[in-house]
Amino acid sequence: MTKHVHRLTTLFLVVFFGLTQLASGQFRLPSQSFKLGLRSEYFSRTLSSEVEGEKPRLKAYLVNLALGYNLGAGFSAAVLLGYASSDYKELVFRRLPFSIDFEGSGLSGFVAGAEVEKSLFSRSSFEVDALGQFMACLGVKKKFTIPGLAVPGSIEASPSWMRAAVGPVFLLTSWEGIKPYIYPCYNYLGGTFSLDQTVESLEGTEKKKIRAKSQFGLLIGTGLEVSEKFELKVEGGFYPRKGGSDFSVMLQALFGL
Amino acid sequence: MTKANRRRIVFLFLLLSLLPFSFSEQRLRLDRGKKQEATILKRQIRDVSENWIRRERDERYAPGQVLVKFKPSLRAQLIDATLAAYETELIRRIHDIEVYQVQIPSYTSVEEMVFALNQNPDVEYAEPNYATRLAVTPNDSLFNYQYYLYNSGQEIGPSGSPRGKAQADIKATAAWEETKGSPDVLIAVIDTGVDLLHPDLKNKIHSAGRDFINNDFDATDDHGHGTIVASVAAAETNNKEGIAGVAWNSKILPVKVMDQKGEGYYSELISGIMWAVANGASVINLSLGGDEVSDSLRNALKYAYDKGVIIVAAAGNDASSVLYPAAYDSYCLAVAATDYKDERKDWSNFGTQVDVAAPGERVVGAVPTWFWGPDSFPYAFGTGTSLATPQVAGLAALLKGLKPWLSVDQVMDVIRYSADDVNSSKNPGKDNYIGFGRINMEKALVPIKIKK
Repeated sequence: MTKHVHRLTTLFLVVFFGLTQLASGQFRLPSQSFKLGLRSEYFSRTLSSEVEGEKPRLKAYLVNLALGYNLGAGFSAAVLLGYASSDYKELVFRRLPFSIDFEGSGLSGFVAGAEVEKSLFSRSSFEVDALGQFMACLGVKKKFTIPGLAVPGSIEASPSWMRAAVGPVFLLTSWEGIKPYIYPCYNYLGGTFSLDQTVESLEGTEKKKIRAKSQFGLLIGTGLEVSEKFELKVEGGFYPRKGGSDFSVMLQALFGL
Repeated sequence: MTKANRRRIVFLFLLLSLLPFSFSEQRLRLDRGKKQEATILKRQIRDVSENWIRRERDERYAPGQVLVKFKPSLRAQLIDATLAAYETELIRRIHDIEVYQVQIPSYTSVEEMVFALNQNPDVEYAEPNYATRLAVTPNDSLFNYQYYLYNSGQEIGPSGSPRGKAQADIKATAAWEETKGSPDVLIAVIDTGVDLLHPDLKNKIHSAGRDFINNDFDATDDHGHGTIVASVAAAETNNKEGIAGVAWNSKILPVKVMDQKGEGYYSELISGIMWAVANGASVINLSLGGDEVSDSLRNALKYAYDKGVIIVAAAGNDASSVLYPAAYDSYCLAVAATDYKDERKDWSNFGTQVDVAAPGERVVGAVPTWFWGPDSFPYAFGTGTSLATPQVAGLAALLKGLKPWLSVDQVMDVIRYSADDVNSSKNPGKDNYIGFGRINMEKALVPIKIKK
C-alpha cells in the first residue's frame, strides 16, 4: 500500500504541477479550459475474507475539491483533493492477543486522486473515451476503547485504501446539454488496515490487507450542462460479486474558470 | 442413544433423585435391614470425598531425602565426590535444572543435612523434599450437570439440587463457536495419573504417559483425582457420552506424581514437570500443591516457562495462603474457586498470587471406571480449586491452539484480563480472592466487537 501511495502522490504532484504550469499560461492554452468544483461520493463495497461467513464491508463518504483541465484534442485531466469518512463492518483481526471484530465508523482520511480522460473516437451521436481514475485515502489514526475487560484496554485504528479504475466510456452526444454514459471498468479497491492493541502490558499490532470482492464495475451516469460555465455530473455504480452487488453514487458540480 | 444407555440414565436419575433424602432417612434406613446396603454405599461415597478434602498431612517432607543443587561451575566428578563426602546416596538426578534428589544417612536428620549442605560453598541450595497434596475432592456420582460451562440458572444436580445463577459460567459454549482447540496442543495433567481406558478419555490420551511413583511409563490412575481433573480439561466432547471437556480437541498427557493415597513429594512433581516439558506439553495442569517454598520447584517452573509452556496451578482449599507452585506468580496462573452463583468459596485459598478463578463447586467430571465399583457410571461431582484449575488449563490450551504465536506471558495476560470481576461489589479490581475474576472463555477467544 505504501508503494501505491507513493506512486499516487507522485502522479498527483505531476498532474498538479502540470496544471499549474498550464494555468500560468506557459502553454498558451485558454484559461476557460480550467474547471473547479466539488465532487461528493458514497460507496459501499464488500471486502474479501478468508473466513467463510464473514462479510467485511467498507463504506466511505467522500467530499473532494476537483480541479479539471481540458487540454484539447479530446484530452482532459483532473486532480482531486479532499476528505473521506470511512465505516468498516465485520473486519476481524485474529492475530492480536485479544481478537477484535471491528465495526468502527467515522474514520477520517485525507484523499488525493487524479483522473485522465481521452476521447478515442466520436460520431455524430456518440463518443467513446478512455478513462483512468486513481484515488488514495490516508486514514487518520483513531482510538477505540475495548469494552468488558478486567483492565483498561484500547485499540488504535489506521486504515488506508486506494482505488483504481480504468475502462472505456460510451457517451451519447445526440442531445444538447445532456450526455448520458456507461462506464464499464476494471475497478480495484484495496489497502491496509492496521490495528494496534494495548491492554496493560499486552501489546500487539495486526496489519490486514483489505480488498474489494468485486473488481468489475458498471457505472452509469450523465453529464448536465446547466449553463455555459456550470456543469453537473450524476453517476451510479454497480459492482457485481458472488452473492450480490455493491454500489456507489456520485454527484459532481464543476464551474468553468 | 441406545436403549441400554437410556435405561442406565433413567436408573441413575432415579438413584440421584433420592440423594437429597439420604441424610434425613439414614437412621430409619439403618433400622431396616434390607435398605442398609444402599445407605452404607452412600456413606462410603461421602466419606471418601471428605477424606480427600480434609486430609491433614503428618509429614511436611519426605523422610531422609534432600534436594540439592550445586553451583554450575562444579564438575560432575566433584559433585559425586561431594555427595559421597556427605554419605548421601543419589536417588535421582533431575536434568536440565540439575537438581539431585539424595537419600541421607540414617544417623542425621533432614534439617541437619540441609543446614550442613547449605554451608558448603559449592552448593547453590539444599532443601527438604517437600510433600505435595491434592486440592480437590470428587464427592458424588452424576452425569451431565456442567453448569460451569454453561449456566442458564438450571438445577446443578439431580432434582432438588440448588439452582445456579444464569451466566455464572465460563462461557464455554460461546467460545467453542470460535475454536474447539487443536490436537497438537498437549495438556499435561500432572497428578495421580489418568484412567487411560475411560470411555470419555481414551481417545483423548496422547500416550500412556509417565509414572514417577512406580517409575514406569504407564500413568494409570489408582486414586481418581487425576482422572476427574483431566476430564474437566479435555474429556472427549460431542460423543454422546459423559461430559464435555473445555478443550474439545486438545490431547491429554498423563503424568503420575501422586500415589494411590493422593500423596507425593516435590521430587516427583519436579520430575513430572520436566518430563512433561520434554515430551511436548504446551500446557501443564497442576491441581495439587504444597505448603513449602522450594527453589527446585521454582526452577522447574521457570524451566517450563522458559520453554514456552503455560502452567496452571490450584490455589488450594484451606482458606489460607496460596499453595506452591501456584504461589510462584511469575511462572504460572494461580486459580481460585467460585461457585454456581459466581460467589467465591470461602475455602478457596487467597493471596496476591491468585490470578483468576473458575467454578470449583460441584463440578462434574469422569472418575476411573473402577471408582464406584463394577458396572457403575464412572462420573462424579468434585469440589475444590483442583476442579477449577483444569478449566483454566483448557482455556489456555484453546488459546495456544488458536494463537500459537502468543508468548506464555501473553496467554496468561489474555486469561487474566478477559476475566469477569464477579466480586466487584465487594472487591473491585484485582483482589486476593479471585484475582482478576472468574474466567470468561468468550472474551478470551471470540473477537470482541468494537462498535462506535
